[in-house]
Amino acid sequence: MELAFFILFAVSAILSALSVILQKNPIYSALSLIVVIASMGGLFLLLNANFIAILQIVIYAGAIMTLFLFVIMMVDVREDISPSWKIHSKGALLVLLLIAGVTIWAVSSADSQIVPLTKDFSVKGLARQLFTTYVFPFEVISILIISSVVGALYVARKEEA
Amino acid sequence: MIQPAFYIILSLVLFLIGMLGILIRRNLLVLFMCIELMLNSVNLAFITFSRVFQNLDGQILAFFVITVAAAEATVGLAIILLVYRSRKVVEIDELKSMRG
Repeated sequence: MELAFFILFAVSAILSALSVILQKNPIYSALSLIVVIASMGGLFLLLNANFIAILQIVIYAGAIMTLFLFVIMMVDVREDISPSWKIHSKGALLVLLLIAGVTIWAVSSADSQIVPLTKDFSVKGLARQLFTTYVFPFEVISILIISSVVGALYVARKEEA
Repeated sequence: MIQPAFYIILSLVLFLIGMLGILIRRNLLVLFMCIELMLNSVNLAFITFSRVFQNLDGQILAFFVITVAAAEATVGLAIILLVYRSRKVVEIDELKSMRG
């Protein structure tokens, strides 16, 4: 059952990710990215990360993608020229495939298993750790968000002539 | 039973797809979406390791990554909007005034 859900989410994530980079129209790319994000949320649920799965749906699929769609609406979406292969991107791709091969070899030679949970993986445990051990980074993140909101408003404001 | 390796390889594949998109696409908005895709795939790796080692630190790191991605998307999209206003294009091939 778990394996069936994993295959469902994994296949839909990979297919939509390919669709993100191959669609000519950025709106279709954005809609495919929403499918990727929702499938990733499902995978997080399979990994017992309930709170992160909810955040994934609410923040990514809800907030960030809405922002993307608004910006796509405001700029003049042109049909993109077909994906182009430059000579340096072929070299970069070769390096990437090398990294991928090494990683797959390393990962498949390790024999770790997902054992049943023994620790507290609930939202309560997460919140306790977030607000004790990680309370300083948490506050810093809030400053980062405030400054990014102010910065975005400042950058995108209408120029007074 | 699912092995953790499946999740890691899936995360790797999604990361490589995002990287490939950055290499072959020329539209700033799509490049930005590829960056989000890559951030997401890294989150999947974090959460997989968090589950394997039964340690919540990975989930907290993923939480921070999501938050920083939101802030980054806000500023980045504002910059894209500004570029569009001043140049009327969002294709990186036409934004080469800094090329020597």
